[in-house]
Amino acid sequence: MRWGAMRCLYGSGWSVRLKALAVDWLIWTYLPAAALYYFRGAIAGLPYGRWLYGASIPVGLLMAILLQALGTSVGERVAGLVSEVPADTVGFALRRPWYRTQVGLTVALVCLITLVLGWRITQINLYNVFTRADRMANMTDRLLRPYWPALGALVEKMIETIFLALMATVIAIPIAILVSFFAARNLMHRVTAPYGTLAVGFVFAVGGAWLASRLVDWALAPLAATAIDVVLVRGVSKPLLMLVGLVAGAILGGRTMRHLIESGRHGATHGAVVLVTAVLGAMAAYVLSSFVAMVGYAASWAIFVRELSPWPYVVLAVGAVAGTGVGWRKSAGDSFPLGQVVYTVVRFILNATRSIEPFVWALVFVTWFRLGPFPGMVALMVHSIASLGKLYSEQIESIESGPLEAVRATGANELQTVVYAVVPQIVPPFIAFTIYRWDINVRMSTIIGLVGGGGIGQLLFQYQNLGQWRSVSVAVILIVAVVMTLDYLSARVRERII
Amino acid sequence: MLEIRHLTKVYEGGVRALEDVSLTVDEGEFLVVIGLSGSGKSTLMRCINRLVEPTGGQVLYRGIDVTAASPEELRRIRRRIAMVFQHFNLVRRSTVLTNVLSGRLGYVNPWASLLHRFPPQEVQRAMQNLERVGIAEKAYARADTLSGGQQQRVGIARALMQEPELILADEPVSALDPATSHGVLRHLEAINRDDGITVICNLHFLDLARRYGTRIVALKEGRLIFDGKPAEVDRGWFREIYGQEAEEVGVS
Repeated sequence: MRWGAMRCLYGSGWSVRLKALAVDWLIWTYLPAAALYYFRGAIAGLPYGRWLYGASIPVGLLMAILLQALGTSVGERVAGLVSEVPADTVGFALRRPWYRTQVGLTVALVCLITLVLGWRITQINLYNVFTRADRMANMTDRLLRPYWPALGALVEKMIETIFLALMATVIAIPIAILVSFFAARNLMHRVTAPYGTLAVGFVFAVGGAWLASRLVDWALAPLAATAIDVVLVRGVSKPLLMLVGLVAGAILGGRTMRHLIESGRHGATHGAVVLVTAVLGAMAAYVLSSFVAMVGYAASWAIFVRELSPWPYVVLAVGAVAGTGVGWRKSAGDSFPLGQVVYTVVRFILNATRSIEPFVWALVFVTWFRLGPFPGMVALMVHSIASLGKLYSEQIESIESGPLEAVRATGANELQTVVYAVVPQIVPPFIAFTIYRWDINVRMSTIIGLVGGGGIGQLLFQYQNLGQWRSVSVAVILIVAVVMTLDYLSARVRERII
Repeated sequence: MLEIRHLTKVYEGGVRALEDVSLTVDEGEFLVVIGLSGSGKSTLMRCINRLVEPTGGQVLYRGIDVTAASPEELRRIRRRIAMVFQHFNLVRRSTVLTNVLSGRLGYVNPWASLLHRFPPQEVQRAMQNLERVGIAEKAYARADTLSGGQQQRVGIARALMQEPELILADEPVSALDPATSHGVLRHLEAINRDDGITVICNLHFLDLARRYGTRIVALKEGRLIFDGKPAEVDRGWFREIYGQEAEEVGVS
């Protein structure tokens, strides 16, 4: 009988031992905590109820140590320290059936407790299922007698629904394709840029955007500020020109810097880098502290400065110093992993956007634009871009690298390599994913009307609210018929193309 | 023409693929590199056109330092060096013609090429190269419908499109049967002899090396251990390069 996990921690392979201990501890903290949670009603009434849950943690640790000492711990088996097969068996070693192994039994116990707890938490109530069936009689009767005259209004809404999904998908596709290249690790990780070029390019870009914004304002100054067309022109041209200014500034700054670096003016270039990183550091500090002030104390930077001065300036100074520290150690020519940063940022934005269902997006857009199919379409579009972007980029990451290497070896530039080696390999999966997304959007668009997103959902929920089950029935039949047809057609299209 | 000075490559994780390899290649040679799998042959090939970044040392191509070249310069160097791969590395879903034309990407107008528009003389040249390797009739077939030998010939046609001064062939026949291997190597031999293009070729089988090479170089565990004429690789050297247990297998 071996004694104590503690002693073994000092033996060889301590990280493996630690992993084994962690697994056991986790399991034996979860089990009592879950068991306690089953009785959460009663525990909430007790004076120190919450502490009981916390007590599972030391209990778990004790159990873990005890079981490891007795040699019957799951963690050890998971970490590979103990094997269920006796060491002296040669050749075929029959595995013991799961119910006779430690891991099997423990997993079964965990599953059982989790299921029981789940039953309680989701309030499964079979009594209601069987005894309240008679309340359905009225509704069921009406659902089974569709009121066909309602079809007229419904068909128009159905057409709106189909186009909602179509427009959302079609507009999302090119944007998602563009975004997906920036979220593909194998393409992005090769992209680097020198610190100097980035620093100065950034400054010039911001300057360019600001200049462009001023330009638009100056050009439109003499015109009436509230006339519809002026608002539209300003609204469209300002962001566009700012983008142009941004890009032009970046290119100009980058070229200038590259010229300076190549002509060997190390002092100037290094100085530029340090200055920019100092300013960026201060800006980052400002943004971070504003965020903290806002979230933690419901204050803004202005209040922060007024109430707590001189601390805010200290924060800015710290940021500037940190920035300088980063900038000092790098010379202007050192390469910054721009691609990796872009990849991480884009991936994060895509994941966050995907986590928010179109329903929620629709709520946002309905407030911004007005009720109707437009916000619904934009909501579906935004979610589709994120989802398609992720799917496309995963495809790009899984292409064969051989043809990529071959095209690169002929002296092709990055863009040519992408067009000739990447694109042909990803076309079939792209089409498959697009059709998949189209299916989802069609189904989503039938219900996005609930939050004001237009389409047949609006009518459906309206009928439901008024208790007009016979019309609901017609709507549901129509939805099912259309969705099933579209599903079938898209499956056939997919077959033909792949 | 090509000078490799003290080339070293250490992969992440500490694997020392190349250890201080120095080598000079003259114009018009058919240099064969032999050695066990994992001895660094592929790494050496890929360091020459910097598909793999060397950890140390220099590669000088016609006096230009490849290892220190900027991305622009590197592309200009790469288009003069063609490469043929073990697994053919064709774009499967594209046609044979598109695959061959992609060899010319370093020379044509980049914007036109993005729209798959090549000048007619390039398309002519592509068809001529396909005829030279004997598969002109497959020009519009999808690349993955071809057999191994045919795909490798497409690879050679693609290499010829670059009008290269040097061809790097990384185990071009390892995935092919003996008869097809001879066919492919005969094409390379003809290109070397008739066009004067230098060829550096990795091979597994010694009698292929003896039959086609004008000079043999052997790698063992990343180091260059033999540099000489094919006839000089006798039994002793064979054991040295491939290990004491090795037996010579013929493909003739």
